Amino acid sequence: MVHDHTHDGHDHDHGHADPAGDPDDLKSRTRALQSLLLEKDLISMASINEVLELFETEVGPMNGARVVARAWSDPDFKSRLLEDANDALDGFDFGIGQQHLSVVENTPETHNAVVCTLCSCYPWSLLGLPPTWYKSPQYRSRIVREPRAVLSEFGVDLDDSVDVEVWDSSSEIRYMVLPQRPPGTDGLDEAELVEQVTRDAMIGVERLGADD
Amino acid sequence: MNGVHDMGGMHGFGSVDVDDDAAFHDEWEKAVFAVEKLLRYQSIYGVDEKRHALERLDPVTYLETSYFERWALGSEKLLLETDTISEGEFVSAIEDHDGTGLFDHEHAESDASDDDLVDLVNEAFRADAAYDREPVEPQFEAGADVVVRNDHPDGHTRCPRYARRAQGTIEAVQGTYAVPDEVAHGNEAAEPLYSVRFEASELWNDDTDGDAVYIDLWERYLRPTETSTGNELQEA
Repeated sequence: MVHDHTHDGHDHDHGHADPAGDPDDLKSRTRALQSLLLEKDLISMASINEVLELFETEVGPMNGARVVARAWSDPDFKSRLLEDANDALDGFDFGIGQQHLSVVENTPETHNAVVCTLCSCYPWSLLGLPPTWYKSPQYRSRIVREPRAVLSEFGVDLDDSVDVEVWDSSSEIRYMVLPQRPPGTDGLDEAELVEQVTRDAMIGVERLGADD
Repeated sequence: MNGVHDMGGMHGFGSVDVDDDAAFHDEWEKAVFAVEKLLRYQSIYGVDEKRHALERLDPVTYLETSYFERWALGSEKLLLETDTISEGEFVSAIEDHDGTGLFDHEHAESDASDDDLVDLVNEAFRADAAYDREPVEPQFEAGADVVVRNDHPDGHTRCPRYARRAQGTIEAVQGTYAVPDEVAHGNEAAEPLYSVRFEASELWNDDTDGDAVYIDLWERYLRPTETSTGNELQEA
């Protein structure tokens, strides 16, 4: 561990007076490391800003919502999406690369939810960066064993007649849920349907149009 | 490896903080994220090595740190292990540092027009996931019953502990994918990957309120149910 080594042969009696140079403080150590990487041209401010710009603006739930709205509007697209998501998504121009994707469909009989118990795998090309709770030990440990209890913490109380199935994203395939089309949306066109779709519904922790 | 990162089914973490919804909480987290992406885009290390670096954090540290603190620790570890930076220069950098963050500097809005890294970021961000692996004939077909081998490797694996020894059914044959157990350790291997459906009761007996869990598992994690060598009889 670095903070062990950094004590070797160095006095750190200035540590408290100078938190900037405190090897035991991860945040200050990280900032120092980043300065070193800047010096070595392994990072640059322009490239850092570019990464953040791309991940914060070019990806997000709006991509997934467009896919869901089309699946609700176009039965042929929906069957292709469920059969081979990457192939079906070729028709969209998100301007981003695609992950290996698989889309699983909620029905009146089955509710799906997505997790990564081992780390934080998430369909970011369709949903953007994951919320903190998705990456938390609480969600990761519990959703595979007690999904109904976890869903009720999100305000989703499922009838016993609905099966709950959970997808643990253990490979490079990223799962996204196709939510059920909410009741009362028959008259909406595809663009209006996009507005009905939420990120949480595409992770599987929300039922659209439900009373709860 | 049987680490605390492998937390599917663990008790004791409490309720989900459903309101902790943001991807980032501050600029320090953003910087850690962006730097990690840049290092990966330059192939200084790969995603499997990165995951394994986090798994190798000592378990107390893993649980005490936030998500992006673990990323920061993982980057640090891998930069040192790959000799991208030396211990000596890292120590000096810490001692000489003025305490400012990346976004505190005037150069925070620097010009992107003459920066190869910016081009690399765009290329990597827009690249599709690779499909170019030589196909390997799968041993199992959809609908086949399989048992997850009771292996406990001390290296990286993507076979969650809670699935081991459980019987499931192949839901889908996903194609040939690089095996993280090898790639994380600098070796190359590709194998058929399967989505396997497990009844929740098979994984958790009565201690579940769910119905099924699907896990993606590489062929080496699985064996057919018919096979009955002495060792596997014990497992079953």
